[in-house]
Amino acid sequence: MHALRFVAKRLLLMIPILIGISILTFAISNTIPGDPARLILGPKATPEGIEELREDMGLNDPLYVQYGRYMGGILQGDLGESTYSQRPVLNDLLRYTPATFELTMFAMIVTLLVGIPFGVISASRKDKLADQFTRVFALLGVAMPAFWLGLLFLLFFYLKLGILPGSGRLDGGMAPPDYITGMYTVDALLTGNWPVFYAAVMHLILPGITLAAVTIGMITRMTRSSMLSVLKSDYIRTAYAKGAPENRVLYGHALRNGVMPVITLLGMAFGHALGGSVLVESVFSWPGLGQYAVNAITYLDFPAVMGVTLLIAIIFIMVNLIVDTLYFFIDPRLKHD
Amino acid sequence: MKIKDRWFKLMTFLIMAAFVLAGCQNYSEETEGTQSSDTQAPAANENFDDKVFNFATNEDIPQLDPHGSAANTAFRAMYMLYDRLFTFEGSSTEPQPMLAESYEVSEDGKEYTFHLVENATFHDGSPVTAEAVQYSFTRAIDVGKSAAGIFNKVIDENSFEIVDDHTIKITLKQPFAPFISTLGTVYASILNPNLEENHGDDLGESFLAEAEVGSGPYTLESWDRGEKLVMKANPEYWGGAPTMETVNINFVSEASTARLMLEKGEIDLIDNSMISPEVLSQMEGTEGVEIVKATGYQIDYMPMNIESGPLSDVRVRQAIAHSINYDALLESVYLGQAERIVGAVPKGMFGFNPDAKLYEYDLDKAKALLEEAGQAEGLTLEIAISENDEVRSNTALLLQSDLEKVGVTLDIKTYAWPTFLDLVTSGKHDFGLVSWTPDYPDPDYNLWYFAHSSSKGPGFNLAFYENSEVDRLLEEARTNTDESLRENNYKEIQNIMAEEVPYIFVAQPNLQAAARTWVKGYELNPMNVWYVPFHKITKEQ
Repeated sequence: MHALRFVAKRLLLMIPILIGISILTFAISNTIPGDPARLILGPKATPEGIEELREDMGLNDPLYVQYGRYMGGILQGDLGESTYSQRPVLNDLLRYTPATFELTMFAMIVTLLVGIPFGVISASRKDKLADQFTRVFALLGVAMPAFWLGLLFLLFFYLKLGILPGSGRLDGGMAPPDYITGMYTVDALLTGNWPVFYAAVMHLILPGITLAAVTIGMITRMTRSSMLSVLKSDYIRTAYAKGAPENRVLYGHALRNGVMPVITLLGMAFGHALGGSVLVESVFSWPGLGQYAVNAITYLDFPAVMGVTLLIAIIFIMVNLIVDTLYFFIDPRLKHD
Repeated sequence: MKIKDRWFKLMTFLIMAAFVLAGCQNYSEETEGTQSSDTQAPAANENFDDKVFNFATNEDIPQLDPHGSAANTAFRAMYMLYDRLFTFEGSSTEPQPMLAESYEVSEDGKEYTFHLVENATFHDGSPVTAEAVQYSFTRAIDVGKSAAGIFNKVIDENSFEIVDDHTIKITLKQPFAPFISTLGTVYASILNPNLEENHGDDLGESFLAEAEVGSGPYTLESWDRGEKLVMKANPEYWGGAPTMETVNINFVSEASTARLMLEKGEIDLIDNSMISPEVLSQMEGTEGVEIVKATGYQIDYMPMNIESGPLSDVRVRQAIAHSINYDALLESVYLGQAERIVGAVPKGMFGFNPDAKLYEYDLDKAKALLEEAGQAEGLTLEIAISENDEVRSNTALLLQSDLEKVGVTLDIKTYAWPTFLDLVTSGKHDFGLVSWTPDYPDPDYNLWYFAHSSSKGPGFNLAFYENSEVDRLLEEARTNTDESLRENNYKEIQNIMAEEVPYIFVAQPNLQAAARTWVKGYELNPMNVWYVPFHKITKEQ
């Protein structure tokens, strides 16, 4: 009951947050100097042509009228038409978002699978060789620019060894699976298309690991420090004293308490990965939201900029909500508070 | 504890060293690879396919309507999907017949009669007729975007007379000497008139944004936005079956990634505007890779806002022109792959004036001129550039150090493209740096934009230059068909502008594109660099 009320409250809070974000984005993007009509028409356009298009696009109306019109559209599920691609923004988002989401999810899975065990090992072998190794590894991950790491991966695994593909989501000439979620790996699984699934996973590896490098570092360091404090507590000493096997103490007793701050960080890490995907997408020619957003800003494509911002805000809020709700399942004390 | 700290430091050091060594090793391997290629035949590349062409560009295609798009990157596909009445082939800037196999023009230069080839068909099988030509130009004007900017000054809906199915007469509002040249541009693409019946409500704009109704050598197969656009050969093409069966235009946003893909053979040709001269020179000599070069009609220039401030004094502008070390600029920024030019008409184009005044690098003269203008104690000016362009930012840095020597402090301001465009077209700049490639090979194009008073600001006269004599010469040359009069007028304009220096023309760079050596028959057109004749290129290993 408590958990439900918590979720409902958070969902209601989303509304003012989103309205605030929409006003901010709308105001900021409209104060960037530059004329969208001029950018659409290019240098060869006549001043009359530009004026006519401005009128058509409603750019001559006061800002609050434009904002009102936009929000009115959103309430009816209409995100407007991209001035750059001349397609409904919703179509563009449906096309680009799954690619980014797939990449980010993959990076998060890698992060969890590597980051938490590394953190635990590091804490349990404090100041031993394994600890030093994971600490250096985490430090490098956080410190290395994703852009540079991506290129290094490409140079080595793609050009020299030739064992992993370098760009795009699928091999050249391969048709994407039927659109269900837009995530190639998931769609290929659902339709049982194994060659495409294999190709899609192979294509995810390099960008996924590049993107995960930073978050692995974050999670490892957080797990280590949180585990270190938990390992000092009395109940762990008791567990060891009664002769419980080490793995059970570490992963069964200690991790359950030690993982709490890590989960909070996970929401932040997800946001970090979502933002970092812009650079990684660029290096690996990954046709995702990041590239779309960059284009939208370059061409002052206001409807697209608004669409991307709101969508990322929603994803970020939802992920953090999920993360916060996870507490209720991991920490039974919260259920009774 | 101390020992443990040392452990930590040692590990960090070792791992960093490993990374650095890995990097070094890759480069030395690369050079070895090139050297050994002389002695042993290169192994067949597994990515070679003589029927599929892979092109890489970092500029996403916004939409495919030939009358609506101002994005050069889209032209590459449009040229293959649509035909035009004329075309520019190979390295030539002379319009060659395409859909119009012949034409006549009246004495007064206003009436053009075109005879169309009879066997051309659109991709749905219907013939390309005079009606289609009329429909296409009328639509171009009605859509009111980039194509209209070219055509509505000379034609309107009353300009057409259909003589028979394959003959059309176009009467211009006034003579327009470069008319035939404009018919070779992408804006003059011929569209299937049945577009109107099927998708007429918005002139077919939203439909054509991601479809095509052309008669060109390729049809649009698929388009995964931000990923790749695939074109399939049209086996029925009236001009003969295309050589490449499939053309993939791949969007590779990162130049370094595209370079690796080219080295690996997954890409055949990279967009010529994508890689900086510096990286291209590094790529030279890589096994299997060749740098295709050609003289271009692109000009890189610096408009000076002459409407207000110290730059409104012609002596200050001349002083600036004298204080630039042009040779050093061409050598260090363009790595020798550019020529200095005198005016707005590129070398090689009709009307180019080789005798226009060239300002030599002369600091004493510059200082004297500044003193004469009362600016001896020095002044501070701003140069606006758009971001993400290495050549422009390097040029700005060099200008900064050159002008410093005559007491002019140059502040470099870098802006995002929309902001930059707004700034320079509304006259809020002192200097700017811009690149420009004409759409058709006639001085009318560059000079009208750069120098006619009606083009000030948004019309791309970024110097806000106004000279009634120049206006008169331009208007006379545009509406006259006498070639020698036109040539004289254009040369005269270049002389006047050289004296008044509203612009400094920094360089006419060579065009350079990185390709696989197995690509045969590709030439860069000096002007129409977006025309890649995929249907004529072959691949041989």
